[in-house]
Amino acid sequence: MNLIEVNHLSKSYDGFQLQDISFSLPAGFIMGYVGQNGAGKTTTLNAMMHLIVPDSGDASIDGVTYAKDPLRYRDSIGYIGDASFFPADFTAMDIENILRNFYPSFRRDTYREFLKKWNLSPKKKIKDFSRGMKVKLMFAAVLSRDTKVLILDEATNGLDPMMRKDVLDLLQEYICDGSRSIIFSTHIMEDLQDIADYIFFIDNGEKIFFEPKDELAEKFLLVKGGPEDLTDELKAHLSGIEKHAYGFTALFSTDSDYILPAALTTERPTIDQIIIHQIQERRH
Amino acid sequence: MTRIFNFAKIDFLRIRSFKWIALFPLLVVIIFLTQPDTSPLYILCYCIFAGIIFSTLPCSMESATEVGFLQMLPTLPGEQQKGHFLFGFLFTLLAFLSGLASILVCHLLRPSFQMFSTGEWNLLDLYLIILGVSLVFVGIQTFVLSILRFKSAQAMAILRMVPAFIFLFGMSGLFGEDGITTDGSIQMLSRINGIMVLVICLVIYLILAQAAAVIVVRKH
Repeated sequence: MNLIEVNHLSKSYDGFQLQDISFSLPAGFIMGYVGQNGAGKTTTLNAMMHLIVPDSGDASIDGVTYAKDPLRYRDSIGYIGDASFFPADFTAMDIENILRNFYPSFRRDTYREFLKKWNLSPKKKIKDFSRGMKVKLMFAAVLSRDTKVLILDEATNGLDPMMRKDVLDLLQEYICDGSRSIIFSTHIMEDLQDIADYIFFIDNGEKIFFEPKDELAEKFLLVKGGPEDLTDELKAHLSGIEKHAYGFTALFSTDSDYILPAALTTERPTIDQIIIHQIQERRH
Repeated sequence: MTRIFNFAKIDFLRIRSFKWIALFPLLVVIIFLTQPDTSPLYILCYCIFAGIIFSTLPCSMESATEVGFLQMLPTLPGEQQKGHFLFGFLFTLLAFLSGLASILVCHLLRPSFQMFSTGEWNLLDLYLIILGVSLVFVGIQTFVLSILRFKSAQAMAILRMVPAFIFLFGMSGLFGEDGITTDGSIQMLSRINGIMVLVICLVIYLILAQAAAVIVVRKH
């Protein structure tokens, strides 16, 4: 059984519609959730966490939906966003007291160890923390209790490289026992290149693809050539063509029977490149 | 119930930086000691006036990002709203008790200052009526703040301040400047029981709390 099941989630707002989002994620894996700003990533995550009520569809974690058991459902999720969601006038000690009162699995010793390890003062107001410290506090809060799923919504935005590395290491540690999963929404593709197992690409509220990362890279080639190489015949077999002053780059599906001209250069695309060219293709 | 209580605790944490409110009863005592003919009713009314204003402070302090943190806590729908109402009730009760304590201090400093009886009237009934009425005011304020989101800080300030002033001037109009001198208050006291009024007001408060929880859940 998959740890996370999202079935036909839909939500409409004025001028935007999240359409029929479905995916499944087994335990022990990390899903990168990518798309442009306004594509529907945060809407999907908020609907999953039941911070907004979807128009249709549902999500389950370890077989439990919010409707079936809201307490257990919320208890199984740890969330870290791009901004601190703690009340600004509270201290880390206040957060400890709140978490202890609401989460049965919260471990005070673990929380205090994290505070000590990351030099987070228990009595300093959260509004006086730096951005990196706020992210660390969110991690301390989430990792001090037993969760099944970690949802990160652009949590590494604005962090320095060292802090981002620390966060990625934490994420790897979180899933290493094979019983938990992570959904990681981010614009920083290098992070996903390193740790993601699956990639879900959403654009304009619509699921474009959901693939294992390694298979995704195998499905495409990044093709480069000069302007004279871009014939009409070739164009028909490429997607997301991006023209430059000195030539073009585009994606070529490895499923295609077409044999690429020898003059072209090919290489394995990064996730970033796949996403950009897919968006390019959809714009046309 | 524990979770509702924990939400009320969060509200108390929020107003921690407003500890200076605790000095307000002292200020009231000082002012009224300079006016020997003051009825103890007004000491109580002024303390509860402050209580009505500050009872909705936590509700008004929530920012959009913080709402997410509280909403994500593992609770049943509507419990956060009930926590706000529990806080409002406890804070109003604190204001009431501080008012009684202020009256006691005035009585100790000036024995001629009446505490529970004017000789003609038992003031305890009136104290309970004042507590009950203030709970209804707090309940209505908290109800409105729970179901409506105000973007304007001015609108929020008006909603929090106006009911308190209506309460204060209403009580003044009802009882008269020197306390229990109006026909209205005399008739009222001769007919109704303070405990009965308090119980009715508590029931109204509970209905408002439940209604707010239901509406917020449906809206969500």
